Amino acid sequence: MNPDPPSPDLPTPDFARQLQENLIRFVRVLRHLGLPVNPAETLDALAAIELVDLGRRTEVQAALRATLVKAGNQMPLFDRAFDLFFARPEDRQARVAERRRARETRRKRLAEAGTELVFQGQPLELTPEQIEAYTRLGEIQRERLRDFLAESSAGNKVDRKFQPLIESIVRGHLDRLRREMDGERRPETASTGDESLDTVIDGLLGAATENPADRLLHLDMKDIAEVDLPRATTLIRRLARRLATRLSRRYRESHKRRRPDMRRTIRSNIRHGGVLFDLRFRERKVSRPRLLLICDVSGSMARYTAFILEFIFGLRQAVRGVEAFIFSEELERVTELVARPGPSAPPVRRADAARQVVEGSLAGAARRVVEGSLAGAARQVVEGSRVWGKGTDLGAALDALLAEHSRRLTRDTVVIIVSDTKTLGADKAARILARLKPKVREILWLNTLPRVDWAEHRTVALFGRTVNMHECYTLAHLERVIRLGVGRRFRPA
Amino acid sequence: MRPSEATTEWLKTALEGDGYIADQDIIISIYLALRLAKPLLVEGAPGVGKTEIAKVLARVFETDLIRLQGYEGLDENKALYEWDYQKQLLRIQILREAGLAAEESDLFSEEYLLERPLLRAIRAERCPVLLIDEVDKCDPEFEAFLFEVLSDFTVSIPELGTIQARQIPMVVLTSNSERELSDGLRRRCVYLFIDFPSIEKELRIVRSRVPEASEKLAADVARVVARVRELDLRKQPSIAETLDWTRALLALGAEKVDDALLAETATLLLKNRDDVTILREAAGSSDGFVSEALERGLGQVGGPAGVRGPGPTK
Repeated sequence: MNPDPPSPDLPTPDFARQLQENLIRFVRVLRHLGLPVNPAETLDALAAIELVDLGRRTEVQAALRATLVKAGNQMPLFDRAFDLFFARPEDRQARVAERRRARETRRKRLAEAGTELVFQGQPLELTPEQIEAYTRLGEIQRERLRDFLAESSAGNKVDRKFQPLIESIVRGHLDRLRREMDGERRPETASTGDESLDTVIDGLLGAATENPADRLLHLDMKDIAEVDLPRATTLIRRLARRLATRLSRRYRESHKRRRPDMRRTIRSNIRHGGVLFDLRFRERKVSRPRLLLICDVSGSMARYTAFILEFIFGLRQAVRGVEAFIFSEELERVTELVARPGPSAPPVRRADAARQVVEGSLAGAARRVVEGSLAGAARQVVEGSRVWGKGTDLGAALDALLAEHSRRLTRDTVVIIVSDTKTLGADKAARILARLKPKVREILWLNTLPRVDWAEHRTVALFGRTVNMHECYTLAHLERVIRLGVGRRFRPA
Repeated sequence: MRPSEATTEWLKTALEGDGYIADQDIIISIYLALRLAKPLLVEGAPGVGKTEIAKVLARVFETDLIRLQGYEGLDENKALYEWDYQKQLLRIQILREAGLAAEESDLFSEEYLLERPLLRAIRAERCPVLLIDEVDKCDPEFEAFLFEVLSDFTVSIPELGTIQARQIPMVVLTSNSERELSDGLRRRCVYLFIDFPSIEKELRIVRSRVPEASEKLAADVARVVARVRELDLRKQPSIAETLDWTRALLALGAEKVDDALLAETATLLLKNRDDVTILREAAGSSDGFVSEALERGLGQVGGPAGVRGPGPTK
């Protein structure tokens, strides 16, 4: 092993104390990055670095990694944090200076913006966020806004009384743009109050989402770009496969919760002269659930539905049967269309089918369903109205389900509804939902609205009374909901 | 050598002397686990040598390996101790026939105690290696029980009293990440994540385990396997499969690897029909799968672990 160059950060006269302080600061950085490090682990790390050769940087790094990071996927983030934090002092200085410069530039631009947004020489009354949004706009959009202000200032018969009106227009405009831009922007983290730590954290936040698979996992499904679809499909299949292995393992016979089976015990112990020598037990039977999917395909729900169908059908080896229905105004059964060739198909053909799915632009087979099989009337509704939720009638769909497919509803069926809750006749739908509930084991609702928006929609609370509602707009959500929601219910309660 | 006195250099020499090629991360993690007397939690894809760590530790410290295989339904009776019910029953029968009464203390003595791995590790004379394999397959309740035992190494048997470990065993836990382990368990452990080896490391492993293979063949094998791991497979070939494949190539008298040979022997690397089909197609296409793999440098890491995007498309 080549000795590493001694790290210039570590050997100092007041060594032990400095080391402790540095380590504690480093742990703070890790916590800010979302790595759960607790005091016991910090103590372990301290004990660990006392045991390794502090002159060797990689040894220190390995020691800290072994004691502070407890999950494989956090390793890259840790390594980058380590590199940035235990950087050479001059590098660190340079980064702190650069960050200061960036802040300074931003402050200047804010000040400039204040002088640019004026109406007849008077600065507009805007919140700091609105001014900040203005500075982040492109040059053309800023120009347009300035022109608007200049023109309206010079307008015929326009005087100071118009200022409030102009202000409200500008505010509304900036607020809307800000919301649009914030959609793409990562959230600001709280400051640690220590400039050099903040610099390290800022440098790492972007890096945290660099892994393409991770990024897709946490991206809103409707925002997954066309080019990423093959990768997303692979990811879905991998998630589903992993979950399926996990779920199917749970069917193995359980050694717990066993109860003595008196009849069999006595019968088999007759040969021991009636002494209960060889105990027999009986166990509860574990049943696999059936899944019944009801997917909203109106408007922009179609994309979510495609991904979710793909995922659920990846689980088929673990669940007993999957039924899929789509609805907007009418209900349609699409199970056969989505189901891929079963395990009996020759492997070559199956590989072919799998590849087609990967190559097909949108989650393959699922897209064909959503686009190809919609009943005429329903499709017209979807195409005719680009407004969200319009033309969605959950009540009618559930009614049809109860009327025509009641034999598919059993006590071990888990019903999964995929919808953003925006529907016609919500109250009627809620009533029918309440009627459906006792017929099945569980109703899970995958809501594609972010949880923060739930309070704004009355329907969320309305349906939430009857069903288990889960936020589900990224693949990570989806995996989690199915793992916890379906996986946990494999055993009878 | 006592475990608590091991140094990193000594560990490295000892492990390599035993044929376990370990990089610095592995050495440091093992070293810290031994010195801090904490369990070592090892995660990674199947077949990267997680279980082997415990085995090799038992060999280099010339001590016993006590193995507890995790599975769903594993409980205290199977892991810690159990009273030998049948034997107790026989005893009562015999006493009754002889017209004597059974003393309770006779029935709950050492003689009727069935030691299970955890108790065996605690009562061992020499500091043993305790391997708790695939701890992620246990139930959460058992995991909670486990970290209680692992933190103080004392066991209370109501009929016998409290048993304190003579020394803290070297504990190695392995997990395939089937289930998230609890934070409590993670917190008590020194953590080690083993990825698939780099081409260079795998080459050293092949050279060490299959010394009959020529340098050239071993290098070819390591490069091709690293490329195979990049395919979108159900299960990437493990190190054990690399070694099997090398031995198979030797048995066939091969000097080097080419596409046709890879397609013929694919079943040794991959144990799944779909995967074999994918590999055969890749090797059968005109791009020269093997020759492309052989052009690579040694430093590259093989298949990345966990959920990830597909490998580079060619």
